[in-house]
Amino acid sequence: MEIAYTIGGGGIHMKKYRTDNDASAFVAGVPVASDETTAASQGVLQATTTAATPLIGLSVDATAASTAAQVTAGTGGALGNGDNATHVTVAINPDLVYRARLNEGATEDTALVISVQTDAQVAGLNVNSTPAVADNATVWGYNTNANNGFSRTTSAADTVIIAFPNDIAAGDEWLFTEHVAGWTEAAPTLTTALTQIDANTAGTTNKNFVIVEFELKDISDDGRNNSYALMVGYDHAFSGSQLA
Amino acid sequence: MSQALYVPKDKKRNGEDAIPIMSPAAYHSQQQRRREATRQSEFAGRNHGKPHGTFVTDEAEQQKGVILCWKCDHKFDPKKYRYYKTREFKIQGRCDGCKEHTQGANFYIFEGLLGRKHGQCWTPR
Repeated sequence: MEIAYTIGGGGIHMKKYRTDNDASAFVAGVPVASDETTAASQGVLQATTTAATPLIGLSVDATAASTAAQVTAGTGGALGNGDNATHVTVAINPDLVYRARLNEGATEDTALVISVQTDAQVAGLNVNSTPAVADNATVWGYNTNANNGFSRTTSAADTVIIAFPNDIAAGDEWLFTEHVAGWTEAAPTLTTALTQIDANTAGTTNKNFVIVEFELKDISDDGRNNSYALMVGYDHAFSGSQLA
Repeated sequence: MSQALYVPKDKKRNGEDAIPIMSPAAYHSQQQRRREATRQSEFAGRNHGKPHGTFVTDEAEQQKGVILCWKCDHKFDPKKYRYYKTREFKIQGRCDGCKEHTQGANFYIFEGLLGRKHGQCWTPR
């Protein structure tokens, strides 16, 4: 996960926070959350795969294991001239847009599965393919497909409401993610290491992110490994309000 | 919600009963409590009176993001620590050297974190 842009167009505000003593080790590109419910919380935590309430921002530091002990430098430096608690640098803008890779399943860096059309559909309305494209998904043309580069949202039974611009032929290859841009009911589930989106898990009411837009690529740009969702935090600690 | 008793002066003069009002703490919204909780977690940075440079290099040894204002920027050698000076966004934050909040700060990120794969967080453009 990385910084894409801010909705307001302003600069990125960086801040350093202590990490909670029992937080998992932070890595770069994971969303950071605040533990508002635990009075004994000592700092920020990593978000979970399904929740980031409230979200603080995005970690931009190398791996740091959280600990309650004093931190010593790994390869040099005495750390005697400042606070030597475990800390993490976070981009904290509430309107920060995060770019996360669309990934097949919960294990990072897995290519999206190709769904192959089983029959011709001259009206461009039915994506009858194997494996089946889910309901309420975003599907786009990937390879040997007159609709390469075009995407649509499915409603039910692999049907798109707005027809693809070109006829669909048997053997057309599609990619899909079970999420819809701008829909809070189709919030993503993150992969195990919290850096990418599990495109196979249906969008649900997770209070973590809302997708702003997609970067959907076809075979000419390695779409299986190079497609992204751009999303904004659903419930940011510094936004003043929840989106919903 | 906690409540306190408040007796307006005119009521007190007339000997009337006190009326309950909402305590100031109850006015704190959920968002205000969140901000306060997070602010207490802010990293203190360099100790006052200690050298600026050693703290910054300690940060670099740990591959942390380094924020520097224009006055402190020239004292840091990013190549020595394999750091990339970001140019994609305007950055603001508290300088790791002088601890002053600065608009238009320089932000350095460890080169191993550049890219879009898992474990990376910044793509040079």
